[in-house]
Amino acid sequence: MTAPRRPWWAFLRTRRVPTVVIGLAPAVILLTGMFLLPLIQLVTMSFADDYRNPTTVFTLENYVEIFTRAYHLESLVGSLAVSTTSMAAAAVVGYPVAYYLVHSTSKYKSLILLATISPLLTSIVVRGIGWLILLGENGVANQVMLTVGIIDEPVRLLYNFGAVIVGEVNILLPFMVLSIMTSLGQIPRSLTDNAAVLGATASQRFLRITLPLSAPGLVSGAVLVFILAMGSYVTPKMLGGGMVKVVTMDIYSRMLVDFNWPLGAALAVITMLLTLSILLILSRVQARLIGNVRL
Amino acid sequence: MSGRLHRKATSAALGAYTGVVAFFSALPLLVLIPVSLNSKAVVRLPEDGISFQWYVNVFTSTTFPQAFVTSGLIALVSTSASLAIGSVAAWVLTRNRFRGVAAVEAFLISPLLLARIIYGVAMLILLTQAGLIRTLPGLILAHIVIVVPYVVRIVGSTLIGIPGSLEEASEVLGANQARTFLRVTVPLLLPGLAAAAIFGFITSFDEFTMSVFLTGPRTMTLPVEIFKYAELVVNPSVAAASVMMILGTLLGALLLEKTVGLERVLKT
Repeated sequence: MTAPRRPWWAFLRTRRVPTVVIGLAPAVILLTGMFLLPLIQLVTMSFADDYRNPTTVFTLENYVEIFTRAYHLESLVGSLAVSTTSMAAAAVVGYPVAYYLVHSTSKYKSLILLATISPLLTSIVVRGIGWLILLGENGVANQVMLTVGIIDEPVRLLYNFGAVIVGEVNILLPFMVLSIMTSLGQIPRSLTDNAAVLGATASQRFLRITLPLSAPGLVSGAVLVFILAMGSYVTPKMLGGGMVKVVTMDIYSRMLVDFNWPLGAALAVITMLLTLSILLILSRVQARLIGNVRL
Repeated sequence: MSGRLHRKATSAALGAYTGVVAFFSALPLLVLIPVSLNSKAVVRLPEDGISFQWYVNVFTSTTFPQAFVTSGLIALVSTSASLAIGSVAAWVLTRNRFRGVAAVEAFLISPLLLARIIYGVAMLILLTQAGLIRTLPGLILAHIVIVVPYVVRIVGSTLIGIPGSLEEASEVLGANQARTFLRVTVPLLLPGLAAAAIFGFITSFDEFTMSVFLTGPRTMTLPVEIFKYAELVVNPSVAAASVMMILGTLLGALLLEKTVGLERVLKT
């Protein structure tokens, strides 16, 4: 009595199929060969013992080394420290900026928006050089402060944790601001207006209405900033000058300096998993926030 | 009355604060301009007049012009290829309902979620085995993978705004799907395609973190060349090379702002 079962290839008979297949094939083939395949190779490499004589041996040696050597652990902790600090700093610095850009009617608004998002449109290398020139011992900041008379001799501004955070926040702020702006822009004006009519003070309106409703944007901005900071290499390298150790510098050295590819691959896999797990936690937080603010 | 005054003061403070943040956001770029014009070989604001000698240096150097051409070529080829591949895919994904649409779309966008450095390492391994490491084709392939997700997203979000009924009308009137796509969809899609093209070009042209693993002496891209140079010495020449890079990108950004609006592109 069962209906005739449709064979699995039945979808091929629908009229649209040729377009679907022909249209998607190039992109899917490209990403399978040039994205999925290299990632699989990366994971395979992380279990190898020597890339020059690839034996079929499956070894956990590289992972054991990462978790037992202080050097690698320090670089992982360094990356987490840089990423969480940049995330928090970008949220605090960026929120008022996003609020202003959504609500202001100033004629300078588009100029301010362009300046704020300008880091997105310039190479991180160029940004890094800008900061080197600004903060260097003989650089522009020292020159200006000496001329004005704030300081008597050049101060050391580069090559420390603070300099790396300044550089990271500078580059990643646009992601935070744009993401918060999206959330803030969706809050109906009537909500805060009504609250005002009902007697809520400005700070009550902000803390009880605006902030909770914009929280999803804040969290997705935070996710973006965290992911991008975890993967950043140029900024810690240029502005940290070896004083700030991060995992990306560790990966770079393993791959291109001492050619220990299996170890470099294992470091890359761990970084990927670490980033992914934090992404999952934060997106769970975001899902809860969105659930709470359903209007 | 005092409430209103208070509100005015708050919004003035907020405006001032935003102005300061915007100023510091742009400062590392702005500072490059006077420094690159310094008449002396120091990375400070010019004190004894200006000169264009550092720009001459950059133009006549053996490395920077070649790296500029390499970067431009890679960006041009990879953006064109990504546009062709990505916009057709986006069109199929927004105009057809079949099981797995969401999964395919997620797959095509997934390179955005992977840190560039990790992708660079993975491609270093693959391209070495394929014999394409440090070659132009290898770099171009990697750049296409990076640009395709942006094309799928930007073109996809533009397509959602174009009513499908126009394409249906074209098909009812007898045009086949390919003709409909080229004659109806593409013209309506032009702003989205332009945005994707410019954004893709900028992304490719500025890319460093992945490319540093894949470039060789004969295939240096401009960001990698500038980085290697700055590792040795930071001087007004490097500032001049940076300014030229910014000008190229700024031109793209202005085009983007004039054609579709920056905010819209960046938010997709």
